[in-house]
Amino acid sequence: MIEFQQVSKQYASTHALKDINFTVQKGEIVGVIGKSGAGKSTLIRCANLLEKPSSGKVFVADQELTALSASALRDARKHIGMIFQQFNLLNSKTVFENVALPLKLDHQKTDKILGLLELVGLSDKKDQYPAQLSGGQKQRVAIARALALDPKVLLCDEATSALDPQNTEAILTLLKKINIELGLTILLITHEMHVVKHSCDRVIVLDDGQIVEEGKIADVFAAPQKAITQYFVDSALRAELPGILQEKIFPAPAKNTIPVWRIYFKGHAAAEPIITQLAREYELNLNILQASLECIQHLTLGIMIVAVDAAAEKHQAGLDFLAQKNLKVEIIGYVARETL
Amino acid sequence: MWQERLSELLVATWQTVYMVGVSGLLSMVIGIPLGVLLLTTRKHGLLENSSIHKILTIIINIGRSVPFIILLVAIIPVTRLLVGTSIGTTAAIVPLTFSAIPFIARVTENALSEISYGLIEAGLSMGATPVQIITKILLPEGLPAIINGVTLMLITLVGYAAMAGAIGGGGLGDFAIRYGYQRFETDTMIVTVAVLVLLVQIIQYGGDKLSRHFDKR
Repeated sequence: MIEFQQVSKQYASTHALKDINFTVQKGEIVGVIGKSGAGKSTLIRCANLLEKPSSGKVFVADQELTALSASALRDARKHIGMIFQQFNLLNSKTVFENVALPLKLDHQKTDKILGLLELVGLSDKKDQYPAQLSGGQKQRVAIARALALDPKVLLCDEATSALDPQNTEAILTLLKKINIELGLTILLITHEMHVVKHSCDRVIVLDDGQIVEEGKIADVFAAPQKAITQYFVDSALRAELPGILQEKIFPAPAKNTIPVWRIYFKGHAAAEPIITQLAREYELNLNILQASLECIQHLTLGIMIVAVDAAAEKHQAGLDFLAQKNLKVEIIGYVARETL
Repeated sequence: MWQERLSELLVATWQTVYMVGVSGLLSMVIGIPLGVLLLTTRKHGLLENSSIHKILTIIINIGRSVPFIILLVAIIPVTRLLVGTSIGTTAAIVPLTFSAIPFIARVTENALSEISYGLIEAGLSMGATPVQIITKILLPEGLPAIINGVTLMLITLVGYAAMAGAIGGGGLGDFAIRYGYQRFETDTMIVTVAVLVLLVQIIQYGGDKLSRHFDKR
């Protein structure tokens, strides 16, 4: 449905995008994640040619956008909805008029608007102005507006970044719903892994204008290949210790310190009584500092950070046991026994 | 005698309203599109065109820097060409309009430049043509600010119209000078100034009200 072929974008002296190749299948939700400045925003704008690639081809719905005339491109854009971080609603128009705008621009009747407002749950707000709405409601109006021309594709430019966690969740749920109900293909960009985790089928990791990793969400979460991907996965799984504890961790062992392990659980292992086994059979007293468990698609993923209180010679047996269970373990440092 | 003065005052008031109204309207018809052009031909604008932008900027800056009293005299040949005479109320409309056009153009440009680029992007992503983006997005969004600018211009025009009146255009300025100044009729002068103050108040009030009506932020 969307295809980028060797797309590059160059500004005066910097490469915003370098040789981008990817495909989004019909009905898929694909997330592009990257830190700020990675080129996400340029990438999504290349998908409807708000930014013209310096080289390469962009296809949407079997049409090569990069080969179209200005007026043919305008027609093609009518089938590509887009929503934005700052919503970009007209303050001078009511909710109804905002949603009606694309229809009016295309000289169509506006009788489907009430249905669209119902879909996004804003039927009762149709005569209000954007200034009277919350951020989440504004984004719903923007979604209704983006759907007005029955697009085949929806582009989401950091659509939840200006929202609080509850509204983020609600908007992502709505996007998932329209993806399923309308069969809409969605390409979204974000800097937050939990957005990707919540709604995407596949993820593309963008770093410094290049795609560094790409795959199904569960695969990427289970086995991130690149450091940057690991960073995003860890952030989504809350794999870091809270600040106060982090300060107390030393990189090397010292007198009276005990090691701190980060254990990654995956799939079945997450459901097994591994901690109990470590304690009973290997005599390791585990002090749990942090733990989280996530269900991503059909995969259960967990991270546990534990301080291992046991005689040093018993540690290796425990590590061997975890390795035999196929669990990844990292020794993230050492902590003084009495601080815990 | 006061009845005579009163009816003359009414005529003079009407002449001022007529001069300000017509020149205001004409300058909006010409100045607002110029302002749109000024904005959209800017660098990275919707209709980016640096040569048009430069030419417009120069013309508008010249227009804005010529003092009105000079403009009044300098464009007499143009006035004659357009209305057939350089004397009278209708003739005064020409210099008034010429002085207001650059002002309105700048006001419009400023009003529209305040609008977030995101709205233009939204329009483009809907497949809107540049003209549609201007008429359906930029102008409606910039309307409250444009109205404020127009209000300011109308008030300035009331003052300019008084100057134009002094050289044969009629209106309240002419009236005040002839009776209040030259014949030392202080009462007439005070009444005339009061009418001018009232006129300005009405314009400001109406403009504020209209601007607020369209401002939904």
